[in-house]
This record gives sequence, C-alpha cells and structure tokens, in this order.
Amino acid sequence: MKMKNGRGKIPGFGLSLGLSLSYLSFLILIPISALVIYAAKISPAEYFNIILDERVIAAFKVSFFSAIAAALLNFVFGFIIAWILARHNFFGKKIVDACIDLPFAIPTAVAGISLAMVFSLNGFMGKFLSLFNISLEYSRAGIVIAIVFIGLPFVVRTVQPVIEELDNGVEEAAASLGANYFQIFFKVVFPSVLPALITGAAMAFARGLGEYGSVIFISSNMPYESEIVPLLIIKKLMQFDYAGASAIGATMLVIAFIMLFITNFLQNYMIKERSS
Amino acid sequence: MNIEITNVSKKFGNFIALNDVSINIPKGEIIALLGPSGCGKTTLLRIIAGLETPDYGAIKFFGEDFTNKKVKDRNVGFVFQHYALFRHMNIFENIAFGLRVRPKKIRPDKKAIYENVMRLVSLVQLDNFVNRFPSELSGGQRQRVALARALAVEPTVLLLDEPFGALDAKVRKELRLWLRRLHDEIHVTSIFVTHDQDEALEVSDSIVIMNKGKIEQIGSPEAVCDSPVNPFVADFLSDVNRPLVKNKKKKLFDVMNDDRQGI
Amino acid sequence: MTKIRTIHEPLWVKILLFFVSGIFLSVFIVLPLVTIFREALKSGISLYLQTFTDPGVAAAIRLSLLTVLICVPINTFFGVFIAWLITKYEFPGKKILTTVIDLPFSISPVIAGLLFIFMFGSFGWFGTWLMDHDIRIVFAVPGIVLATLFVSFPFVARELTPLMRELGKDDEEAALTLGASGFQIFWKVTLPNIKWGLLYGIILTNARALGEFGAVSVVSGFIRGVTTTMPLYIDILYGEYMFRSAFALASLMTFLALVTIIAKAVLEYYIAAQRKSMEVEIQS
Repeated sequence: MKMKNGRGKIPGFGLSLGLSLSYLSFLILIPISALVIYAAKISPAEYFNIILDERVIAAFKVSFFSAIAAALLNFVFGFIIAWILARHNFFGKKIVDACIDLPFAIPTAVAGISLAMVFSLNGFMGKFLSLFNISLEYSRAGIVIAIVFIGLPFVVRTVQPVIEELDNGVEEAAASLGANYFQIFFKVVFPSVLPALITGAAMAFARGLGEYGSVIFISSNMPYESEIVPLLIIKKLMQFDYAGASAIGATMLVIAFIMLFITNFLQNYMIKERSS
Repeated sequence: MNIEITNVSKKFGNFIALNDVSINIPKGEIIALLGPSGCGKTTLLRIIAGLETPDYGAIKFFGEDFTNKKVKDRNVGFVFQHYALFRHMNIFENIAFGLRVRPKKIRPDKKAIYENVMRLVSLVQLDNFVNRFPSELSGGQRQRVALARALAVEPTVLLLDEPFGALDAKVRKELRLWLRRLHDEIHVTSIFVTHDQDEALEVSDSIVIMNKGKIEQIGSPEAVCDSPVNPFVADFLSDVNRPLVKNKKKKLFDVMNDDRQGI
Repeated sequence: MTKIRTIHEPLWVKILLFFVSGIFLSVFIVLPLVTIFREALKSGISLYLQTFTDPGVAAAIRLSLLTVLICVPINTFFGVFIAWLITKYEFPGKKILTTVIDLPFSISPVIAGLLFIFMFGSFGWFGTWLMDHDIRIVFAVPGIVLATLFVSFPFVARELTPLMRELGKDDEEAALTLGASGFQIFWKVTLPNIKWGLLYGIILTNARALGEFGAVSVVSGFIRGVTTTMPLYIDILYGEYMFRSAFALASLMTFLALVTIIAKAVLEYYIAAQRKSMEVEIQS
C-alpha cells in the first residue's frame, strides 16, 4: 500500500519548506510581482496605447512568426534526428548524440556571433546561398535560424526517449496484418510519437519567443522589420521608457505563463499516455 | 509487558485505511497481520514503527505511551518489503549503520560494532559476504541482511513488511522456516505483514486477520482455521494448507511451551 | 539500450533520413563550431593568446568566475532542499510549487533582467531606500549575480526531482527506524544515491550561469571592466568589429561548453546504469 496522503515521518519538512518558500519568494515571486505591480499602475488606455503601437505590434509579429517557423522546422528536423538516434546505430553516434545538447551548453551570445558569421556573406553558408541569390544575413530568416538552433534540443530530447520506448510488438502486429512500412509508420508509429513531438515543438516555440542573445547578432534589428520583442524592451529601457518596458514585459510574462501552462499540460498528457 | 494498540484509526484523504483497530501483542511472540491488499495491514505496521501518525488512538510499548514518539527514538527494527538496503554500502556497513549513527555518548566503540556485526552476520548465515554490496546478493540473502540490519539496534520490536513478498516460491518457503527458527532463538517480539495465508499460519504464534481497515479475527493459527468467526475469515482461509498448521504445532510445541512458562 | 527491431524503413528512406540529418547538423552544429575556432585562430596562435592579456577580457573572465562561484553553490543548496521537499513530503500546493520552479525557464531572459530592474532600479520598489543607503544592485555586480541566480536556478531541482522520486522513500525510512537523524539520513543515505544526478544538475547550472547573456545584459548597464561578464564582453568586442578577440573569447566559452556536454554524456551513462541496477534490484 502506497501512501496517498500524510506527510510521512522523514524529518526536515519545516526546514525545507521554510527555506524553499523563502528562496522562491525572494528570487522569483517578489521580482515578478514588482514588474506586475508596476505595470498595473498603467491605465488600460495607456496600456493599449503602448501595446497597439505599430512598432510594438510589428515586433510581436516578428517574434511570433519567427518562433512558429522555427518550431515547425524543428518539428520536422528534430523528429528525423531523434528517429535516427533512437533507431539506428552508426559510427560516432555518441558524439552526434552529445552534440544535440550543444545549444543548451553554449552561451547564446557565442551561438549568435558564430551563426551570424556562418550565414554572413563571407561565411560558408552565406557564400553557398549567394550562389542561388539568397541572402539570409540580416534578414528575418536569420532570426529563424538562430531560434532553430536554440530550439533543436527541446524537440530531440523530448521525442527521442518516446521513440526508444515504442513497443516493437505493435509494429510487428501491424506488419503481420499486412501493412506496408509507410502504413505502419503513419498509422501506428507516428501517432504515438506525435504528442511528444508537439510537446517538444511547443517548448521550442516558447523558448524561441523569448530568445534574445543568439538572435540580435544575426538579425538586422530594424524597427518594424526584424526587431524582436525582447530587443524592443531593452531599447525602451535604454530610453528610460519604463512604462513601455513594463507594459510589454508584463505582456510577455503573461504569454510565458500561458505557454508554461500549455507545455505542462502537454507533458502531463504525454506521461499519462506513456504510462498507460 | 506488551505492545498495546488501542482504537487506532487512520484516513488517507477519503480512504479509510484503519478503522478503530485494537490489538494486544504479548512480549516475545511473533504475530502476523494477514489480509488482502488494501486492508490496512501495512499502514498499521507503519504506525507501530512511527512512520505514520494515527488520526485517533494510541500505541503503547510496554506501558509507555509511544503515540507521539519520534521514529528514531522508538528503537524498532523495520524490514522493508524491498529491503531498502543502502546500495552504496557493503553488507558490513549496512548492518553497522544503526550503531554508527548513534550519538557519540551511546555509540559503541569500533571493536564493539565489529563484534556485533560479525555476530549478526553469522546469525543470518552470511559470514562470507560482509564485503559484498547489496547488488551482489540474491534476494533471499538481501532479505537476511535487512533482518540483520534491523536486529543490530537491538530493537524492542521487529516489524517486517511482506518480508517474503519479493522472493520466489522456493526461497520463500526456506526463508520462512528459517525466520521461525530464528525467532525461537532470539525471542524478539515480531510483527509481520503478509497476504499469504500459508506464510502466516506457518510462522506466527497468533494471527490478526484484517479486512477493509478492521480486524476480523485474532487468534492462534489453529483457532482461526478451526473456528472462523465470520464468512470473510472462513472464505479467506478456505484454501490454506492445513497440514502446515499441524506440522508447525508438532515441531514447535516444546519450544513454545518453554516460552510460555518463561513469561 | 537499443531494442532489437524487426521492422525497418526501406533503404532509400534510411539514406534520405541520414542525408537530411547530416546536412542539418552540419549547418547548425558543425559549421558554427568550426567557425568559432577558425575565426579565433585565423591570425595565428600568438595573437589568439594575446586576447587573454587584454585587461577587459581578464576582468570579464574574473567577473564570470565570481558570478559562477556565488550562484552555483547557492542554487545547488536551495535546489537540493526543494527537490527534497517535493519528493519526501506530501503537502497542499505542491503542484504550484513545481510550476514556480519552472518559471525561470519559461520567462524570456530579457524579462528576467527586467524583473530586477523594476525591483531594485532607481524607480523600483527598493530604489529610493537603496539610493539613500548608497547601495547599488542594478548596473552593478549584485544585479548580475541576482539575474544569474534567477536564470540558472531550476536545473538542480529539476534534475533531482525525478531521480529522487524514483528512488522512493524506503532508504530514508529505513535509516530513520535505525535511529539516524535528518542530517545523517541526508549525508549518509540520500546524497550517495543522488550524487550523479546532483553533479549533472550542478554542471547544467554552471553552464547556464557562465553563459547567460540576455538577463545579465539588461541589469549590467555595460560598465566595461566592472559589470561585463564574458558573454557581455563578447558582445562589446563584436560590436566594435574586433572579431578576432570576440571569437577568441567565444572559443574559450565554446571549449567550456564542449567540456560540459561531454561531462553531461558521461553522467547520463552513470545515471542510466544506476537506474538499471535499481530495476534489477526490485525484480530479483
């Protein structure tokens, strides 16, 4: 019989509860309320004035669509990479597997300058793409590239264990019933990986919305064109427009909460699916 | 000089785990808490150990009220279903743990700890395994280590949660006979939880049959088998191995007799 | 780990998948890595090494080290306590607590920095009081430390929680019945069981603390030599078209990132081995 309720008797409840709550309040809750309360002082009219400003809307659009595009790219490529890592053995697999974590480990500023260099007109990809008359440097595509880089591990690391755990028997059963490979894949395998894939992509999207460090080096950061929301906040801050910064900041905070809620929900759903 | 459990009740949320349970356990006996899963037997054991607090009722150890006493001050030996051996410690260190964590004032010296542990490993017949780690032992051996570890603190009561539950059938049979013999040797008051009727009948002096948080019947193995007080007990014990009871009675008769006279 | 699979994709599909992944990873992982080191070493090793004698670079490295030395132990300490709290006890509001722990991950680093501006900036909650007492938090080292604490906080708790949940409470309860005190239980029983997971969390905390850019840049005020950490100094150098120096410093950070992912892979191996031995233990 497992305990369902009751504190149990391991000592230290009071101490760990006290320490945890104090630290979380000090580090997270109080600072968040500082911003929220500052923003709450702004009248609704002024708030909408700030948020509905053309430049702000443009920035939200840039951030939003870049994050969506990057999430979709990661949806596809992240799945393929996770699939290969989970299903195939090949020389150097361990290294490739470890490298997926590079975007987690490398500072965003470093990723930013190096991606900017790779895709610059003098860089390898820049030169390659210029053969086709494509220039990604300082375009919106650059933003997407940076966010793809940042988001890749979210998708791969969410999907990979799910593919590994897939029950071979189900595929065999489908095969024994006469399904061909593609039927097996699309009717049996893919649907069971899909929740994980959506979860990973949602996490990558949420991360992409707020990404700053890697993006600003590769983007031209032109207002209305390629200016992301986090950058706009910093610019407002530098112009001492605290009302503007807090209004946009609070809006981003709300979006972050919503995304957190969605990804938590998806993750719980996934856990339920997997355990059943 | 008993362990007295009076009117103990415990709820987990809406689930009533124990409903007004009272038992009196005589010193030196080995008793079984028997019942289907979810009947509250493990909760009762954990309450005796102090790992849970009852919502109502009291626990007395030899006249002293233990209801609110801390686990670490109760001096109980608890054997967990999955042994809960410390996997980073070898067998010696596992058994010595309870002695080594004592406050300096009452901690035995190194030599005494060594002698104590060695005595216990030979009691559980694992003399050659002191330097092994739990992962290098079989299930039955681990169970014996868990028992030795619990005995090292010289507990006033030994509590065993499904002690043979995780073992395969053959080992289980050997080990329960062994446990019975061990108990006859050391006479520590013992309470064990089981859902296996044969196990309860073969090992224990008396059996507490539980169902849905209540006690259905308390009595010696013969008594509960021969005269079940209600249909549940009759049904629950309907397919037990009767010769087991008779055998044990014969085999243990003399020992038990001595025991009773001693008290 | 790889299960024996009987159903395989057709060869041409397999080749296509390998090809696509190969291209993708080359462009997004290999090329950036190679570029960093190539740009850093383009003008020879002596000029490369010269970068690190620049007082600005040296000051940035020192500040980054200081930040890490403060943040990692603090976040480790509290992370362990929070994981302990979540996995050893049942109490109302636990779900909310777990969500709060995740907040720093879901909030944009820039917003994270912004929070501390609104709390400690001149117009913020404690602004006037701090000014009266001549204490600088924002646009000074304490602000950098706070912002770094914030963004690197969740790792230890998040790595330990699932591991400690799997380990269960039996060992701790066993130690308890044997008379061990709370601290004895933690040091002698819990810690040895979670050491790999803890180290894993510490390494991730360290990587994030070292590399944080957005949050730190908001609170730094870019006071050169005073509030510039390594990533911020990379930004400054890059902005001044000193690409060689920027990439030289970036190469140092990349090297550390590579060490991190290797350590991570090694630790994952140990953690997986531990999990496996736990399963065996329960089955036998």
